[in-house]
Amino acid sequence: MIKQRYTLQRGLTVITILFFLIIVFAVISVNSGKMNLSPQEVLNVLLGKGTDKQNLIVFDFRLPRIVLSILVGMGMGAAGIVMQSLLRNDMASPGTLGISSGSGLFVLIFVVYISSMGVSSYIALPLLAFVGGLIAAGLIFLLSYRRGREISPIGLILTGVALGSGYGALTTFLTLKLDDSQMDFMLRWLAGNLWGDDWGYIAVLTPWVIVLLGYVFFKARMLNTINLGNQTAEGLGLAVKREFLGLSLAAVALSSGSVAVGGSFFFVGLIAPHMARKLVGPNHKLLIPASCLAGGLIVVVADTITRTVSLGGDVPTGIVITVISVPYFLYLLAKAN
Amino acid sequence: MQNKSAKKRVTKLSFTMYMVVGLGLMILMSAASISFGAADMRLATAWEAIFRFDPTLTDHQIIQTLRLPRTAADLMVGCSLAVCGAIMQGTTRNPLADSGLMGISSGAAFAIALCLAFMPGYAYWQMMLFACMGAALATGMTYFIASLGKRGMTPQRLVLAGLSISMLFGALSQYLAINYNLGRALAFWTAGSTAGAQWGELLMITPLFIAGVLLAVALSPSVTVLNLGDEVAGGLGIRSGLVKGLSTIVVLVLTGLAVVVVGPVGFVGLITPHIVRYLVGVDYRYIIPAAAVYGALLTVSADLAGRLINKPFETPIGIIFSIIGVPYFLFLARKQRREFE
Amino acid sequence: MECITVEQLDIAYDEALIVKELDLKIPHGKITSIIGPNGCGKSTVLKAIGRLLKAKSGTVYLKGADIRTLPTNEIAKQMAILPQTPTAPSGLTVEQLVAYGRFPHQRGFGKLTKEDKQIVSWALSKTQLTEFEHREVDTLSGGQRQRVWIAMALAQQTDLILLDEPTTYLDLAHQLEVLELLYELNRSQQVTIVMVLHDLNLAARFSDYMVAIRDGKVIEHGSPERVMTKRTLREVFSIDADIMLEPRTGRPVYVTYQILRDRNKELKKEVAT
Repeated sequence: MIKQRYTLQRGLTVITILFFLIIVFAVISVNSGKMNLSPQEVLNVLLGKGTDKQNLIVFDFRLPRIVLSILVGMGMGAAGIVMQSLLRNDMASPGTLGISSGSGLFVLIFVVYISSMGVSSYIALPLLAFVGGLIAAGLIFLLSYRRGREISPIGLILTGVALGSGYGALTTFLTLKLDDSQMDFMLRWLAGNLWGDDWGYIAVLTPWVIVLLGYVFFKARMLNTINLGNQTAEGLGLAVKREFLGLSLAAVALSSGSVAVGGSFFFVGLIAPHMARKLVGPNHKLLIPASCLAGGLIVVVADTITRTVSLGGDVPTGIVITVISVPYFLYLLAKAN
Repeated sequence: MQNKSAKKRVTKLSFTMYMVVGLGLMILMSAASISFGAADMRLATAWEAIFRFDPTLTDHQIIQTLRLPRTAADLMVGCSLAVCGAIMQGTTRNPLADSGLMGISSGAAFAIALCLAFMPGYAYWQMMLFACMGAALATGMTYFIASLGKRGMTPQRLVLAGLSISMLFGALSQYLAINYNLGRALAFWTAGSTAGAQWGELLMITPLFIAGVLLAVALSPSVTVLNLGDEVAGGLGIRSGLVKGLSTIVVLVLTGLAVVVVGPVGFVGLITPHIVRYLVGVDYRYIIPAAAVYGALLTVSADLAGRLINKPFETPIGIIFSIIGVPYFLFLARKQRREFE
Repeated sequence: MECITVEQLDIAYDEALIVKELDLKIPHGKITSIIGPNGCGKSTVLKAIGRLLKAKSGTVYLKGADIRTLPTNEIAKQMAILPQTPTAPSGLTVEQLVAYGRFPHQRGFGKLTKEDKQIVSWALSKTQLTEFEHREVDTLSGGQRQRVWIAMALAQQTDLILLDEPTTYLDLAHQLEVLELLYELNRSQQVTIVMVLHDLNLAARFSDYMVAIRDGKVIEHGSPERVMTKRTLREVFSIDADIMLEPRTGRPVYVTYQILRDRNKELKKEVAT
């Protein structure tokens, strides 16, 4: 009897474990920070029996930040797995394709020009970021797509990273027009700092992420089939072009939303799918939830580290993630054929 | 036979012509750089400031303490980075090589940030040393990672490895900057700017600069032959190990000093050799000197542009080169890919 | 009765016309092979029939219906296609890959019904892969892997299967393994098979109907006896071949051949005599 590597049972177990880990770290995160709260005190607050100060800390600072971390991580994790599967390239991610940076440029445009116009930033911001992401996606598509020929995997990533740094340069260029506080904000945003930890933004981001995640999860079967190759998938009756378009839009929307409100996390969308694939195998019905949860977990853990381990000042979460992720990316690069 | 020597004469002639043109433009742009800026001045004032310096005039002060060192810094940095790029492209046979792209500048920058954060009483030469060590570390890591795996060191992998190392060191530098409050000045420097250049620093660096460039020029004939491939070069009597070793030292030193003065600037080393190659051909005996001149020219012009657009805000040269560099890099990468596939 | 009719097909790749005004009729319930030299357009024609490529002009009719008017899902229920060198993602088991054949029949989220699972088992047994059903596909031999893809096509439950060079890269024994399986499927299940083959002798041995293409046009078509002649081979492949009837099966095969020195001269000589 041959032992299968990836079974449904194992997959579901892994997903459940990931879910619980997120909850555990969320709890740790609520407890820790500049002012430590014991679990008992947190419980009191949740039950409505906390002091004003404790309520403030939990409801206005920590809880929104944790919820945001999870949402952002899930969004990036899902976007990452979709991109990697659609492009059949395991180094693809919103960061390496330049899509996060493209969104970022538009976020900056918002900060510089539009926020003073009094348009509700809660809606305008993610929408603008989405537009930026679409433009970036369109550009890399234009530059890389060659009819009939397969795009060289490393070539695609190279183009994406170059475009990304181009958007980054433009962004920094525009940053110079800002005053000190705005500039500081942008610099932190570029490093990935979970700045939108405010219930208003979360209220917009949550349905955005949930609906898109639902769509992507529903399309798990399509992603599985696309993995067999465009021609085989087409032969099986999958409308490849249409599904590709729909899923790409979803991925761009997910990553733009996360990036708009959470800051530019370069590596989450790259690492989470890999972890998920190693844990649950290639079936997207398991992969998509696993990748989302892995993404959420990465960001929550990194954020907890940022706020507990005394690294000094307010270090953007993205820096921690970058430092941990680069070695892994290099390993992937070394392994690539 | 007659044709060949005629062609050779033409190449030598065109080289000399391009060098003269380049130097001329360089002087012109330097003059412009000294004269223009946030506070406009006439060329005559600049002339007087240099040759008949009057310490009581503010204009003269500005020129002597701000503009002149700044222009000198631009020239040196541009020259160094371009020469580095040329040497790297020659010795690795990789047309996408550049100090910025391969993480070398970021490594140096990180080392400097470390220095600023932890050794407040630093001496300038210590900072230089740190910069070179940081550059060496980053270079080592990039080359190592890029050469692992089956296909070995392709240009694309080198760049990707370099970019990731760049991001790693960038993140670490950012951390230091935020944590140790190295301030807005550092942010500026990190974007690549000669705004804070001072005579003292420049004077200390100058001997190293001159030595580096001279060594590069001395190595140039060997680099040309190395371009034919290690084995062919070996057969022709070149000791590739030695040449590569010396080249690496030149690159580390020149990049290190550039980073100390201006911060991590990329793309100069990428773009300049390509432009120069277009003008003077593929012989590195011409490319390296020409790169030295045109790199200086490009950087001075970029700095001038950076001060004129977006007035009164300054745009650091790092940004300007990124904005020009990325599309150019993409164009090169596409060309590369077509040749590689 | 025709299964597939191709009318005046023009197919272009980046402005260069590969297939020119091609007409073709594929018979129902038979094994058809498309042969021709490299670059003649045989794979291109197959892909156009399989709607994987869009033709510049002309029409492909599947059982009388223009394929452009049929939704791709519907086509998948009538026609299965096995492209050249298909790759399965690593980690997939035989059973999982064959199950993909049920894709066109699934709705929504796509859980496998009892019927689906039965069909998958049947496909596995038809291709003698039942004992391998939990093995990972990339641990199998070349011939076995091709059988897995054929099983997937079977699971699609179509009565037409298109195959693009199913025997390339396989060694001799595995080539026979695959072709004998296709032969048996055709004889026992009346599955219409259309395949592009590069090996003429195998094509002649296993086909009922052959189509020889050169430079995007059909040069000759019909039974193997009609197509495998000295003259056709000379026109299509530029070789001077000796044909004999093979002892085991009685089918025509080429035994030895020479490269034609001057193709036109030989043709003129032939016409003159």
